[in-house]
Amino acid sequence: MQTKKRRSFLNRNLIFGFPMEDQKKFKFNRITLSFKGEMQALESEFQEDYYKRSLNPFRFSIVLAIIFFDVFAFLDVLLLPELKSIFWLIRFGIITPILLAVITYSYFNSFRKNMQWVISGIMYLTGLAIIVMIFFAARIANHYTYYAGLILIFIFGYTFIRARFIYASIAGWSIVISYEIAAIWLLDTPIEVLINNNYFFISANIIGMFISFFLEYYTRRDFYLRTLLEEEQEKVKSANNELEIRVKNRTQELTRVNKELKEAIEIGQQYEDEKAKLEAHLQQLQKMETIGTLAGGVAHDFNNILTPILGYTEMALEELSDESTLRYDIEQINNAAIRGKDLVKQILTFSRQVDIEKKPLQLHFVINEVMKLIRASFPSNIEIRQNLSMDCGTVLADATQMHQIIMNLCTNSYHAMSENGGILEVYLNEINISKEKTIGTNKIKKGTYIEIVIKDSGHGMDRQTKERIFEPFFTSKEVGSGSGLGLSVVQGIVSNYHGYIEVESEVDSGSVFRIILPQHSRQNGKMVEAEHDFKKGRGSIMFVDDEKEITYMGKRMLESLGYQVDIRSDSVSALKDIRQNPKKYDLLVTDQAMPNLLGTDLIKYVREVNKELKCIIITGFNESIPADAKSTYKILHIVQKPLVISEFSKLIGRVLSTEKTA
Amino acid sequence: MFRILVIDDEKDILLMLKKMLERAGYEVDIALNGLQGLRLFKQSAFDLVLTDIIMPDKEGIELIMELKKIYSGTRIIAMSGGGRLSAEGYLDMAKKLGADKVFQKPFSQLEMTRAVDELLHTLT
Repeated sequence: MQTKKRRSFLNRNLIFGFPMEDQKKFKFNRITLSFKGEMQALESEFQEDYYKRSLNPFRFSIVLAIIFFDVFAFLDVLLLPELKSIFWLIRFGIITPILLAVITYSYFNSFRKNMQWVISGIMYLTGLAIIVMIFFAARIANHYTYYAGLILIFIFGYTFIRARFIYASIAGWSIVISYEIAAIWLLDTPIEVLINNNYFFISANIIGMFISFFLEYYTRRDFYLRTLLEEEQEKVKSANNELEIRVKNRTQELTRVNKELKEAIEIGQQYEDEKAKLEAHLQQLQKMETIGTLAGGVAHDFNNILTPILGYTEMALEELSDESTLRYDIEQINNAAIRGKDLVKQILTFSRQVDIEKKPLQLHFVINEVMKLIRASFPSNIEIRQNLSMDCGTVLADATQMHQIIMNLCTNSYHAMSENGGILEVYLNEINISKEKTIGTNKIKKGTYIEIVIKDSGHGMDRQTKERIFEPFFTSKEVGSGSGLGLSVVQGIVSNYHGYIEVESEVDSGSVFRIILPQHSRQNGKMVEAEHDFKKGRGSIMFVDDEKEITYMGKRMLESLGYQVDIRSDSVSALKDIRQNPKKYDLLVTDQAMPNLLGTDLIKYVREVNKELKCIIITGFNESIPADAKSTYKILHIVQKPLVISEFSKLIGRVLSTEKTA
Repeated sequence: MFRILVIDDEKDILLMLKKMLERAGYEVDIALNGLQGLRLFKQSAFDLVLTDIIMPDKEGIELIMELKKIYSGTRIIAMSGGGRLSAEGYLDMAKKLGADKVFQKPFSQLEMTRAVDELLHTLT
């Protein structure tokens, strides 16, 4: 501890009030006191600084000099009244104006450069003035006391007036030399007086030089230390700044890291969510896969079961006479077996085991075909809008399947709007997918696609329903209205074509189904018309229903299929027409429940005039038809409401082209 | 009278087809699998073989190949209700191997009897 203290004391050993280390650097010319060596660069800066600091003390000292110079005028009157006029001329006529002029000059810019010369100049000039007065005093009045004035000049010149050491010294010694000249050569000064005066002058001059030297030295040292201090302050300041910047940077970095961490946590969370979603999806896929495998097996077994059922029923029907009461029952078995067959086909479509015929297909033909059927069957409170691009190229697909999916989606929309009506919109567009994207687990490659949008303003779906609609056997309809295979079949078909289907829906604001299929070719030149199940038919049909709306619908639908249709909403007038012209119609389609004349009664009377007319009865859900009515009145088919357009049109086609009324 | 051999592992289908074809005026023998069918085919002459595809003990595809080896002019109808592959998949294969006609189960009586009639009448 003690050695440390001593060392630090030694280190701080002061030379001329300097720390030793700084002293080493502090180099200056011993005569002019100008900085040298490393410090030379500081010289001009110092001079500027010295000038600024000297200016006001200089002016003050000049004013003081004038006062002193003029106060001594009283001494002239007192000691040497005979020389008063000469001395006052010197005091008031020469020196005072010169000093005043110098003060004035100090306000000019060029004074900065000439200051030291001017200071030393006036020091010498005032000294010379005293010498002149000494001369006259000695010569005329033999008086020698005025030499003391020179000492005052020395005091002023070396201290107050702020002359630099070198300039003050030159001026001081010039005054001494001038005095010597005057005293020795111009005056006959007594030797003892000369010695006495020189003693005073020279010692005053030397003391003045010392004072001046140290004044300038300390001024320079102070300047130097101040510079050092400023440098240190600068260093501290920049260190502070740097520190501040570092703190700022560090804070920024921390903020950034914090943000990144937060993001990482978020990503982690998203990843977890994604993982959960994927797991759920995988489960779903596994479920589908299982169902697919199961479906294949079930289909095989089902087909094997259905084969004998169909075979035997057909054979049984052949053997039964038309009057047999069993006939109706067995026909029902037959129908059920056919329905079973269709269901198996659907299951196989869903599990992608049905072979299909892919052809380049312009979808607007298919959609137009579907829209025609829909327009015919939708109630008038559902408005249908469509905007189909005619030149969006072709897809490579099976026309029947395309028909099936569009029909399916439109039928769903119908169900969603059946209560309150609404708007069905169908769009067909070409779209470009510029970036590969993943939808669920389906990768959609970039390229050109054809987009089918089917939008309704119906009751929409909640999230739960939306998530499950593509599952097989899921249905939001009442039990009995659908098998639940619909949308899963649609999805099966679409992904078979490397497309995808997505749905947007909210409760009460409708649903939008969007199907995207890869474009096969841009070419539209060749007409590629959809082949569809609904063959254009020929024949004349009477359609009877007491609800006018339904008759209009029936007319539109059947006419769109190519038939000639007459409609009646009153069964009695229908009967009247047929009686008048019994052979006019090839087919009679009638509702069962009607006022005045039931469907079966209508047919009963029709049979009186035409035994061959093909007849179909449409019945509502809970309406019963006498068991024997079908064979009694030779009714070909009894169709349950609601009418499934595709089924109904097929049936009518079949009835009119092949079947005969037995 | 034409003789037809019907092979299917489903007894119901077998009996139904037997009845259906007998009603149409043919003589019908039946076998429950390919092996049994092949044995019958070797024992006596048949004008037509109607066979299922997926069966235990020699399935239909193999059977068709062997029947064609024994007599390349054998008339064959193949039928299938599908399975791991679609019915069309199996039936395409059968057709390529020499089956004259193929049927997806279930089929209608009319389709089947018409096909049999056609095949046997081209034979004569």
